[in-house]
Amino acid sequence: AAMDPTGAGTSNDEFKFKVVLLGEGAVGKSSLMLRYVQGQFNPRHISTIQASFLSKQLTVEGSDIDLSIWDTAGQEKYHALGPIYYRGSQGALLVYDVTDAKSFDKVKMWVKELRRALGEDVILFIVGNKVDLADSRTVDGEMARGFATEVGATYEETSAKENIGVENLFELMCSAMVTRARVGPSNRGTTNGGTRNGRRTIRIVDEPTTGRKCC
Amino acid sequence: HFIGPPHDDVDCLGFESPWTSKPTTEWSVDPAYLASFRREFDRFHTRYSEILARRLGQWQMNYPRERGAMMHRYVVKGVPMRYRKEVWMRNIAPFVISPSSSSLPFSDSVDHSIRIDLPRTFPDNRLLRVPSIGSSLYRNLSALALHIPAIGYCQGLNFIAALCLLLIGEESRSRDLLLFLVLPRVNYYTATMSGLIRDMRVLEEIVSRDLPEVHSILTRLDVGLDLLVGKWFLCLFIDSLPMETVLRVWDCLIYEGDVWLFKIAFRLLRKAKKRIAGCHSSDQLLKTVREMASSKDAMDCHSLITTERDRISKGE
Repeated sequence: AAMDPTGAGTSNDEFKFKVVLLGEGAVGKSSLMLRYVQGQFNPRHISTIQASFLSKQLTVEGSDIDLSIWDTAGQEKYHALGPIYYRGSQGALLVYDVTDAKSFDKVKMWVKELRRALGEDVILFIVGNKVDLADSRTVDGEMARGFATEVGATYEETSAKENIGVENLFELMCSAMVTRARVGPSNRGTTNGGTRNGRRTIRIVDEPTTGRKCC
Repeated sequence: HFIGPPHDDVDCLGFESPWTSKPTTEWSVDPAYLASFRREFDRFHTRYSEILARRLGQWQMNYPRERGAMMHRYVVKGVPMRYRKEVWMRNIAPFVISPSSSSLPFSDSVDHSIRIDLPRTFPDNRLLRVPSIGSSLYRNLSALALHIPAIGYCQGLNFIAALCLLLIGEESRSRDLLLFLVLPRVNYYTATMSGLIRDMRVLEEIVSRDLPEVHSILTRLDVGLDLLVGKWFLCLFIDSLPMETVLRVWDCLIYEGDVWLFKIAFRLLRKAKKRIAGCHSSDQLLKTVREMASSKDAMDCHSLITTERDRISKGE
């Protein structure tokens, strides 16, 4: 499990990363996770309550990665419980449905929330899902890409149903997390101990703000 | 969600058996997993159908009509499906949704949230795909949104409302049952989820007192019970435990109240305590608890519910 602190080594590194899927209900968060981890698409998917997760082992740029993917309920209410779903994440996939402009507004909300709670350490991807439904598209891809650039996020488009861009999305995310972990100041998440300290801090910072928002 | 019998395609509530649905090119379940689950389910069902037959005989002979020790014992040992509707509804008065309150509109976003969940509520249930039953589900969730504006809609209520409808059949009486189940726990589903947070603290107290080894792992891995088992309480165990177990828990919950949420949560954590104690990461812990909720122990509802070895009682 030794990591090369200089970042010069290219093999035998091991990382444990957590990526969280956030976004409006029914935009396809669970479907993206199932497509990537199990290679399947279930048109009869049950709505996710609270959170669920799956894990996958992969190798990116010579590093072995143990990836936990956390899928969350779309309804904002569930975040009243605090940052319990996303804390300790090295990456976040903020998913919207390209046929639903309102779901893109939710992405904007999540960018603010995550930057406030996790700072610049978290790698953000904005994901336009359901690109197979090109005819009913209402969110312009270039606009979304422009927004992503503005807020320091990467922009990708996917279709969990038609298996477009999904594998690529997760691999790009992993490779960004590997790069960040190798050069980043905190290297959070490479060990359990490191993550735990990070989480504690987040929790203390976050609670008063959540309270204000609710009142 | 399928409750059997194992050789049927669809159970009496409309749930399809997992082994009759044909795998498509897009979606299939690992056949080895399905076969082993089926063996497990068959074994369980053979034992359990004897219990069901015995209980039905007892109910037919001495059908208890009044609240009391005998009724309590009979309910805890399981209300036969044939009597369930009557026993559940016996003490639930019809709710009057006054015309003035039902003319108040709720917001489009509440309506939107309800609508997107309708097709995602038990996709494995054939009855809910019948248009008239689907509309009943929509109307009952809308009625709840009107009646309890502090909630509007909260994901998870779709499952509770759907099970009420599948069990009771009639729309207005299923709505009564839905309101009966939600009204004591309104704050589970409001914007701050304060009731859920409170009950998770209560459960944590019980766990720290009676399952210190579990409590110390939760503390060490910094995982709250809200993340671990919040869904059990929000959905009254639907979609976490096998459906037959859910029905048995609801028998008790409807008769005696939410002490049963704590009892069952506690017993499940106790059954998994050795496995929990061996967890080294939060992922592992979540996985352990999730697997336990679909394990043989969770399927074996009769011993899970009739066991008396805990100190959680209504007085607490």
